[in-house]
Amino acid sequence: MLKNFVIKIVVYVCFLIAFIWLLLPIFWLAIISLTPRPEVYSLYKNFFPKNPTFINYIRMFIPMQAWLAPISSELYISALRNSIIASFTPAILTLLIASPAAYAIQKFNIPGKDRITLFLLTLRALPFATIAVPLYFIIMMFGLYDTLIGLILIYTTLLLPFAVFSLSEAFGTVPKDLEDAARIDGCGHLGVLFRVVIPVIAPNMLATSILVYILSWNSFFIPIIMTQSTKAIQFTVVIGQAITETDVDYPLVAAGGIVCCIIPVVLALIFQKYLVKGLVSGAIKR
Amino acid sequence: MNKTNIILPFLFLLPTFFLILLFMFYPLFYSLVISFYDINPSNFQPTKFIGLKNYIEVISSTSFIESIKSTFIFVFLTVSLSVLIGLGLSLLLNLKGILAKILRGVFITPWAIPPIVAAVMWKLMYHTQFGLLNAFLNRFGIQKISFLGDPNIAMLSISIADCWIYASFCALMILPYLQSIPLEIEESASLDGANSLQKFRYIMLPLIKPGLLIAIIIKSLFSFTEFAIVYALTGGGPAGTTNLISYYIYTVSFKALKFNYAASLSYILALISLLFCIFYVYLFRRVK
Repeated sequence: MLKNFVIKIVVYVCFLIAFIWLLLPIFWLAIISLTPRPEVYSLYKNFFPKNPTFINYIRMFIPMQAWLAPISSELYISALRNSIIASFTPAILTLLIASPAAYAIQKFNIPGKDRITLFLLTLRALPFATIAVPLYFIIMMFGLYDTLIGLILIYTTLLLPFAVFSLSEAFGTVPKDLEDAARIDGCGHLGVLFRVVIPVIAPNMLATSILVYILSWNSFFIPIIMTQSTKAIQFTVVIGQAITETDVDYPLVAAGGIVCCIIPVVLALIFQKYLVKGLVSGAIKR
Repeated sequence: MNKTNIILPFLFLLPTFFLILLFMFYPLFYSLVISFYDINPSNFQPTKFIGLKNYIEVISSTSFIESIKSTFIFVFLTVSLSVLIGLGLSLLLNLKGILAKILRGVFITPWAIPPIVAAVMWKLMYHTQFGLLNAFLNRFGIQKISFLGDPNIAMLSISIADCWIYASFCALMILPYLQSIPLEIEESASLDGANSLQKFRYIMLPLIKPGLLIAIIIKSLFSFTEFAIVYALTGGGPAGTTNLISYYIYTVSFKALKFNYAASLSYILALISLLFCIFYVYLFRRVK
């Protein structure tokens, strides 16, 4: 009896530690984002601001003089817009490019099929940072430096091996009988693809697309070396630069951090079930 | 095989391979070539063939050796810590009950948060003036600790921040293997009188080993190329103790503008990463 009781207590304590470990840094970020800038250095007394405020979120996007710290709200607005474009486009583009390739690998009897899979599997795990500097040369030579098109092409390409691999596994799960039935009913290759196969694996396609979105949105090393102006700068880069300034505006950076988290975290929480599957089957890079 | 059966799959694969060749292999090939040359830093055109001079300069530079050393310490610390924490997390996630259910709902969050934001978070946790950790220490009358400024603990501090991001990810890699352990095996072991520790050692561990290996290898790859954490938390300092290899490459190329030197450096990095990848593929295939 006593032993069971002790085990129960230990398990509860472990859960408590796990929740604190996971959530405390996020809460602290949120609290600081609600603190007026002059109050931040007295936070350690009560762990909460005396006058909580949303002003840090507002001054990010609306030009105003607040505590004598002029902020380029234009920078934040264009960074947010650029980040949305540079992650939404690859999310669509990888699907359009990877689906046919995955279909070909899985459903056609092509020579060297195993070698292609092996090749993609190897590239899939290669981290962005590995190839960033070599890519920088090429992007400069193509005149794609500081452009959204450059970023979109890079994200799409770097995430293609992952997308092709996950999708080809998904295509493999479509029952052959289903396709044969459609073929007997007079569907060609493309007919089978669009009327039968794609509806079946739509959830996998969505998961792949969302993962591409999150990974593009979150990337930091690539955009910090590939962009510099409001033309293409990404939200993550703006935050990275703001936290390394000499006189850091901590509440503003914290508010920026929260804004930067919202889209990927909400997507991850909503589509968690699919994503976990996608992550496990196609172990993922950053 | 008729004609359409060859042309169609070729057309289907073409865009993928075109992009991979253009934006992955061409850059790697180009940087291999210019790593043997002096280059013009304004247009990256090779000017003079200098053979292995760049590589010799890389290998003989003390800052490179220092950087490699700290990178390996970082890899060792973060891989062992995050796989251990990930294992603990996955054991909790695998339990029944409402708490495990809630945990399953939120544990993926650190992975979804952009690493640079996670780094900002930990900068706010570690801050000497208002950081939460020092605020707690202050409550108990303990002197402030400069988590990021003290050369003796800065490495540990950034490793913990890194583990926060990736422990959930490691848990995710281990969890499916944990869930696949049949209940009967555990029960029969209990009937045979095995205690919890023995059950873990002799039943769970062998069955989740593939998951652990995959977590270790992928986490090594991530740690080996970690950038955002160092960029935001320490900027390579204090006294160069956290100058990890990818940050070193960044400063050499984009602050010191020594691009040919950086090309040979990143070539070495790419080769080591590729070795990791090949090892990962080998493991992955064996597991399947």
